[in-house]
Amino acid sequence: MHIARINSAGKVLLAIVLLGLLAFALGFLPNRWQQICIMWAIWSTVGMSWLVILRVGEFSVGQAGFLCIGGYSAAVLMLKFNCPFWLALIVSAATCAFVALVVGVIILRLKGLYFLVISLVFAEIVRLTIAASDYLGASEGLFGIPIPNNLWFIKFSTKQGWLYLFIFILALAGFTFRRMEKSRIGRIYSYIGASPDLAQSFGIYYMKYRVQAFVISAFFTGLVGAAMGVYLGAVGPEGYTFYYSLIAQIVAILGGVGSIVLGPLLGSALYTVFDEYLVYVPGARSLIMGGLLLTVIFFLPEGLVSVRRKFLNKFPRGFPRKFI
Amino acid sequence: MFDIFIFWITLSLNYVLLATGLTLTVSVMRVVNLAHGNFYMAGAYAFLVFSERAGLPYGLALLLSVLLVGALGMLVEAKLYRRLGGRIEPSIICMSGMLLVLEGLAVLLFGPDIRGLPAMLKGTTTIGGTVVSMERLSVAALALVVIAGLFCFLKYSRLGRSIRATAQDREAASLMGVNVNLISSLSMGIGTAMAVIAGIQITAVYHLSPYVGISALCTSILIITMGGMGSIVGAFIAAFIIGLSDSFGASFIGRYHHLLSFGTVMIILLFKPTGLLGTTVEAKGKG
Amino acid sequence: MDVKEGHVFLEIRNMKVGYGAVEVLKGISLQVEKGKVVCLLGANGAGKSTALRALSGLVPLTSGEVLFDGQRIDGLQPHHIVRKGVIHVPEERRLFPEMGVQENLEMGAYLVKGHGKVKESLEEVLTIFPRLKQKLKQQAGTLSGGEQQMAAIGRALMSRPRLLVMDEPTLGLSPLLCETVMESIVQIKQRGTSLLLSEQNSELALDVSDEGYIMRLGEIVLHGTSQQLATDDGVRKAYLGM
Ligand SMILES: Nc1ncnc2c1ncn2[C@@H]1O[C@H](COP(=O)(O)OP(=O)(O)O)[C@@H](O)[C@H]1O
Ligand SMILES: [Mg+2]
Repeated sequence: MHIARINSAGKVLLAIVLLGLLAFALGFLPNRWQQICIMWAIWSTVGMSWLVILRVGEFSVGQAGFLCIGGYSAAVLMLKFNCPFWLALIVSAATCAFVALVVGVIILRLKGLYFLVISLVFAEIVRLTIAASDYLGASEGLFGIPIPNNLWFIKFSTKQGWLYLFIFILALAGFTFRRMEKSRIGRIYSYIGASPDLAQSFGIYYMKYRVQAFVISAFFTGLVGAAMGVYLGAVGPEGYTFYYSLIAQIVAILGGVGSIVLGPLLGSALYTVFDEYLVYVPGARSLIMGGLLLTVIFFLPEGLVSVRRKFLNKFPRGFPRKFI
Repeated sequence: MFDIFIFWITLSLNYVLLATGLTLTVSVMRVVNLAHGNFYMAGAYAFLVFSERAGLPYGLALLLSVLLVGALGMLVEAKLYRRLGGRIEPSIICMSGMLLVLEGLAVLLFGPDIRGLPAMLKGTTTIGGTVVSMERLSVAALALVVIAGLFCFLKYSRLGRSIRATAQDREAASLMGVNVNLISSLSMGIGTAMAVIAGIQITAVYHLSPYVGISALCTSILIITMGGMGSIVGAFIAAFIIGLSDSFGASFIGRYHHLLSFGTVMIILLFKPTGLLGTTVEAKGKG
Repeated sequence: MDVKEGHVFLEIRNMKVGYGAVEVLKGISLQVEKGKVVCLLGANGAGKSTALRALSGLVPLTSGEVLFDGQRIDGLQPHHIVRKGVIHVPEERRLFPEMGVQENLEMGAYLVKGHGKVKESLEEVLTIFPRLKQKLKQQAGTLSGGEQQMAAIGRALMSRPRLLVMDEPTLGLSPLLCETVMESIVQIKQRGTSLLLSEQNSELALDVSDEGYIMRLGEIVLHGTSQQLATDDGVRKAYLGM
C-alpha cells in the first residue's frame, strides 16, 4: 500500500505512533543528550510560533516577552496558589494569549519596521516591569518551583519525563501550525503576508487575522515558557532578555523560513547542539552566536532548508522530495 | 524638585542625541539599526580606554572614541549592510548579529561588571540659589551644542542637504549626482557618532556595563516611534516626553516608570500609528 | 526611412535589460545627435522607462553598450553618469517632497561649483517657468501636478545638462499644461541642449522633436524623422493610433 493513499486521519495516527516511539527511544539517551533534546524541542516550538507571525508579514522581536509571561505565570500559580502543574500550564498559556490580544490590537496596527521595533520594546518592558515588582521577586526572580507530580509513567523528577512533555508540546504545536498552513487560514495568512492592503481589497479584514496569528503564537510560546520555567525550577528577569527573542529568529532562519515545521526543527537542532558544546566563557557565546548569524545571512541566506533542496536536486527525478 | 528638573533636561537632551542618531540612519537606510545601543555602549568603553588607560584629556578621548566608533559604523554599513540590498529581514538579522558581536567583545575585553565613567566637569555651582552639579550642566551643554550643530549641518550644508534628499527619495537624489552609497555610510557614521556622544554622557550619569546597549536601544526606539520615524523634530519632542518619565516618573513612581513610557507610546500609537510627526518610512520613494 | 548622419552624441547599441528572469528590452539601438530632440514613442509597458532608466544607470544592462560623447557610460553608477552631463527627469517627477521648490532646484545644481553659477541657472529656469517664481518657498509635495513637472524639469536644467532625458513629462497633465511643457522643450532645445524624450502622446512629441523611434514590447519597430512619422498614414494607423 502506498503511503500517499492513507487518509489524513490515518496519517495523523501514524505520525503519533512514530513520534511516540521516537520520544520513547530518546528517553534512553544519555542525560546530556536528553538535555539537548529538551532544548531542541523548546526552541523548535518557539521558532515555529515565531514563524506564524512572519506568515502574516510581521517580523517579531518580542518572543522573549511571552516566554517571560508564561514562565512567571506558572511560577506564581504553583508557588503562591498551589495550583496543579497542568492547570498552571494552561492558565499561563491563556494569560499569554490574553496579553497578546490586548497588546496586539494596538501594535498590529503598525507594520514593518514599526511593528518590529515595538515588539522588541514590548518584551523588554515586560522584563523590566517584572524586575520592578517585589511580589514577583524583583531582580532575584522566583525560585523553588515544586516538581510536578508524576503522570502515569512520566516522572518529572527525571529528564526523561520532561523530554516527553516537551516533545508532546512540540508535536501539538507542529500539528496545529501544519493544519493551519494547509487550511483556508493558511492561504489567508499568506495573502495578508504578501500585501495586507491587497488582501483588504479582496474583502479580508486583515486586522482580525493578524491579531489571531499573534495570539496563537503567544499561546504556544507561553505554553513552552511555562513548562520551561517549571522545568528549570526558577524564573528570573535576567533570563528573558533580547537574546531569547533572537533565538526564536535564529532557529527559524537557520532552518529556513519557507517551511513552518521542518525549518525550525532543523535550525533548532543545529542551534542547541552548537549551544551545548559552546565553551562557556562569558561573552564568547554572544560573540560566536553573532558571528554565526552574520555568516548565515551572508553565505546561506535561505537557511538549512536550501541546503537540503540543493542536495536533493542532485538526485534523479522520482526521488521522493517531500519528507514531511 | 529643581534638581529633578535639571536632570530631566540633561537626560532628555542626550536622549535627543541618541534618538536623532537612530532616526537619521532609519530615514536614509530604511531599516532600524538594532545595534545602535551597542554602538553607544562600545563608544563608552572606547572612551574609558582612551581616558583611563591611555590617560588622554577628556575632550581628546571623546573625539577619538567618536571617530573610532563612527568609522566602525560606516564600515558596517559599507561592508555588511549594503550587500543585503535594503531587504528588511536580512538587514535585521545582520544588525542583531552585530549587536551580539559587540556585546560579546565588550564582555570578553572588559568583563561583565558595572563601571563608572569620569565626568567632564566636577564640582557644583548655584543657579538661583539652588546647588546644581557641574557634571549635569556640562553634559546638557555639550548635548545642546552637538544637536544644534547637527541641525545646522542638515539644514544648511550641501552635504546635509544631500542627506535629506537621499532620505526623501534615494533614486531621485542619485539622479542629481549624489553618491547615495556614500551618503548611506556617512549617515550611519553620523548616527553612530551621535550614539557614542550620548553613551559617554549618559553612562557617566548612570553606569556602564556590556548590557546597557539594549536599554539604550529601547529608549531610542520608544522615542523615534513616538516622534515618527525619520522626523528629527518629532524625535526632539518625544525625547523630552520619555525623559519626563525617566526623570520625574522614576523619582515619583519608582521602578515602574518603564511601563509609563511604554503606555504613553502605546496611547499615542493608538491614535496615530505613524507617531507624532511621522509619515510612513516605507512609503517615501522607491529604491 | 533614412536619417542623415550628424555628430552622434548618445548612442545605445543593442541594449538588453531584464528584471529577474523577465527580459524587458530585447536589444534596442538608438542615436541622439548633438542639438537634436529625439522622441521615444510607445504604449504603456513598451519599455520606454526601462530604456531611459538603464541609460541613466538606475537599472543594470544585461548586455549592450551605451556611449555618450564617444565614451562608454554603461556600468557606471548614476552619479557618475550625471557628472558627464546626462540628466534624467524621472517619470512621475520625483521631487523631494519635504523640501521647498527653491531647495529642490538647488539640489539640481548639486554638482555645480560656485554660488554665482547656481544663481544664474536659477534665474534662467525662472525665465522658462515664471510660474515657479511665486512658489519658491512652497513645499514641493504640495504643488499641483503641472507645477511639479515644471519644478522637475527646472531642477534638471539647474546643472546645465548636455543631454536631457525626460520620461513622459506630460503624464497626467491637462492639455493646456502639456502645451506649456512642450513649449519649454522648444526653449531648452534653442539653448543648444540635446533631448531624449519618452512619450505616449505622440502627436505632441512629434511636433517638437526632430526624430522619433517607436517602441513595442521591448523592441524598436520604427525609426524616422518626426515629419515622416507624423505624416505617414500607415505609421499613424498602425502604431500611433491617430
Ligand atoms: N521594477 C520592475 N520589475 C519588474 N518588471 C518591471 C519593472 N518595471 C517595469 N517592469 C516591466 O517592464 C515592462 C516595461 O515597463 P516600462 O519600462 O515602465 O514601460 P513604459 O515606460 O513604456 O510604460 C512592463 O511590462 C513592466 O511590467
Ligand atoms: Mg514609463
